[in-house]
Amino acid sequence: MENHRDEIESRKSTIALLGNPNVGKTSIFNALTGSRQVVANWPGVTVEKRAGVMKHHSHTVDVVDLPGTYTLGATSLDEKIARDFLVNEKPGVAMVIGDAVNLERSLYLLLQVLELRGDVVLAVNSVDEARKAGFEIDKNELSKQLGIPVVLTSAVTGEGIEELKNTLVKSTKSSSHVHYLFSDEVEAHLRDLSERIRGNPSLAGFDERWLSIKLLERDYEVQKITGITLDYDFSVEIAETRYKYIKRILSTSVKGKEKIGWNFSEAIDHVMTHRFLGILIFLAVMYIIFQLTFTISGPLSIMIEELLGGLGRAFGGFIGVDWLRSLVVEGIIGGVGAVLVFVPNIFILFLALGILEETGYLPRAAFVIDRPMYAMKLSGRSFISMLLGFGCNVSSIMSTRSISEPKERIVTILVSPFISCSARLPVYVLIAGTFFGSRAGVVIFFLYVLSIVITVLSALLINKLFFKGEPSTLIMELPRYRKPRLSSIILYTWNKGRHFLEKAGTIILGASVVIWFLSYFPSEGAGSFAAIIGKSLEPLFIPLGYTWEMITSLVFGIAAKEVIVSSLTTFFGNLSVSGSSLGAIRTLITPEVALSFLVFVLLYVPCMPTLAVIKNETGSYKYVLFSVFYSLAVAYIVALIVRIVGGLL
Amino acid sequence: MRGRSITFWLIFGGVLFAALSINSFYGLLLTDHDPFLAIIIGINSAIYFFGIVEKKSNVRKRYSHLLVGSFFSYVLSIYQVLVVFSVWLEGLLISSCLLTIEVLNLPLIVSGFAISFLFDFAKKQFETNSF
Repeated sequence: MENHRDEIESRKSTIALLGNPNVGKTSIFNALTGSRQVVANWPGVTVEKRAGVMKHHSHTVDVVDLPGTYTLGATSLDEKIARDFLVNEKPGVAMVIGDAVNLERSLYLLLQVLELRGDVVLAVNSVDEARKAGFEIDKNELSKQLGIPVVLTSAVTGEGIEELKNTLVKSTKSSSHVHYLFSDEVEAHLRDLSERIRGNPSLAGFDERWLSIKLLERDYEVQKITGITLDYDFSVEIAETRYKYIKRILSTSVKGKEKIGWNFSEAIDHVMTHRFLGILIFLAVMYIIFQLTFTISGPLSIMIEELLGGLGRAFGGFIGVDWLRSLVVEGIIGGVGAVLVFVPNIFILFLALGILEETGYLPRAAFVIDRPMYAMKLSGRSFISMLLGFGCNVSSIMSTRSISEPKERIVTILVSPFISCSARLPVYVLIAGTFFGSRAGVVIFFLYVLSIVITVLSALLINKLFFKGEPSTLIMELPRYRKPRLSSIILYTWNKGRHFLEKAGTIILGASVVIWFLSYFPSEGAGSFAAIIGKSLEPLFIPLGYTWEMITSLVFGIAAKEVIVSSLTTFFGNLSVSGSSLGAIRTLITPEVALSFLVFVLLYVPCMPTLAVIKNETGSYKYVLFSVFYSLAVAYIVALIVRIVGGLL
Repeated sequence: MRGRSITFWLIFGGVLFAALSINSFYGLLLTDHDPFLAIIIGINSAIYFFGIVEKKSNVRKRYSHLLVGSFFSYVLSIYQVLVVFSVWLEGLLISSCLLTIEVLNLPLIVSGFAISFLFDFAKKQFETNSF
């Protein structure tokens, strides 16, 4: 008995956060735990569970933020993560976060949680937006109908957060099951199945009624656990019963004005998701972003360049030993500095992407791209993952967990590295700035468009060759448009951009020292180890016209793409650290070779962390090898085409 | 605003930004030759023109084109201001004035800011549901 009580207490020390995608789970998680996890206005931000600690008065409670899910089925990896946590970890309290504006859908998930367990709290979030839209929610009535505590919250304004904390730390005993019955036929089947499950000792830890409901819904995972497969499917009838029950609850607990015509979001969507205009607007938005990334960062880069130049000269002045001066000034300050010059570009890119995410435009982009993507055997859901790749390919691959179709997920993982991540941006800015002057922004935009085109064509090819079948259709809720919040955007930009700074202090610093060593010994320049590496591969690159310095930098760039910039600056730069001091390279190659080099950088082998995450997510080295060789082949072919066509123009 | 007025504003926005697009494409009046910016302005113009194609009876659909089109025009003028600011700052840092009257692209800035009043108006129509 004592043990049993202890178990209950320990179970109560964990709160699981559940909810539909994009209802503000992560915002509530941040508000409860004081964390600074990135939030965004699109579904699928959370693809794995995140843990934090909530301290309230004398209570300390673990809080786990689970990926967004519409049901407790397990059709995709993120849904499975959410359900497995509830079923296996048995947290003390399950808190379902609902959307005040779309309460019907949130309650559907809540009912499924209540079918599984008791000790549930409902937090109805975005209550401020609901009021603006003319809805009033009666939380006492809702609580009475559901038999669980209900709190109205707004993660944006902080409304109800204290009340929510109080509710969570108090005793949260609630009714174990919801009070509705299915049709007589379904109930008869449930009784029969419950009997069979009860007779199986290996299923003693599970709720029989919940397992029975899942079996009637033909849940594959539950069929596997129980060993029971039914010939009949009652999923539609069960869903209808739940919705009828929800309608009854809402009729008494939500009062709102009748909807007339379109609201503001729908009006914008009529144009933004237009069949023709939608794609044109998407391209225009991308152009503006990349042009601004290049233009606005220009003066800021000059300031950093001046600062690092001064630092280089200062160190150069008082270090007497030649090799040590070379290591510090050319190797460390030159190598790392060459990358740091592009910090403004990276931060401005993330700032712009943050605004796009916060406003809710990102899912619209996926929606308009869905039609051409479907023709390429990919769904718009894959495109959302790919768009994340503009930041980092690693997060892009991780986000494929929400793709329910396994083949489609593998294809998305394999083609995602073609999306131009932020690490490649410094290389573009450096080379494009050197060779294309005021047209550099256009060249960068071209590279980004090319990355999307190659990604989509590769998906088509891989699907045709290895995977047959239709892609899953895109069923995605378009979130409401929101005015971007400065604090969210700054947090987003910092969270994404700081990885770049961390890399500069770790991988890039280490790589810069290695590159300096290889380029300085046994003798500087053409007699160095770096030259031996580059020259040994030179015959392969004769058609592309790359010099040994460019080839060596490509080899080093496999560690991290920014290292290409450090390498090029070490090989071509001078004592004054300068992001655009590649004057020497202009005498060695032509603009079409420079463009071909940029295309090669865009498409060739993914960086080491991306390869590692491909292995983790696919569980096989087969896909890692495929990714390496396929991307090398594509990079070589496309770069060669660019060089030939460029030479003809 | 009646149906005829909305048609007028859609035509006005479409023609104005089509003219600005041609202006940027050829670098005619107070602007640099910039074909890519011209294409982006052209897309803005298309947003207005597609509104005219919507059925006259469906005023909400026409308004939505005015709403998005005018907002896009406003964004373009802000974009141009940011570009001008960057060019000015860069010149300041290298002690050389990089600004010219063509770099400013005043027709785009002025038109974008002027048409932002239309955006406010269209937004209010949807918020108050006054059709």
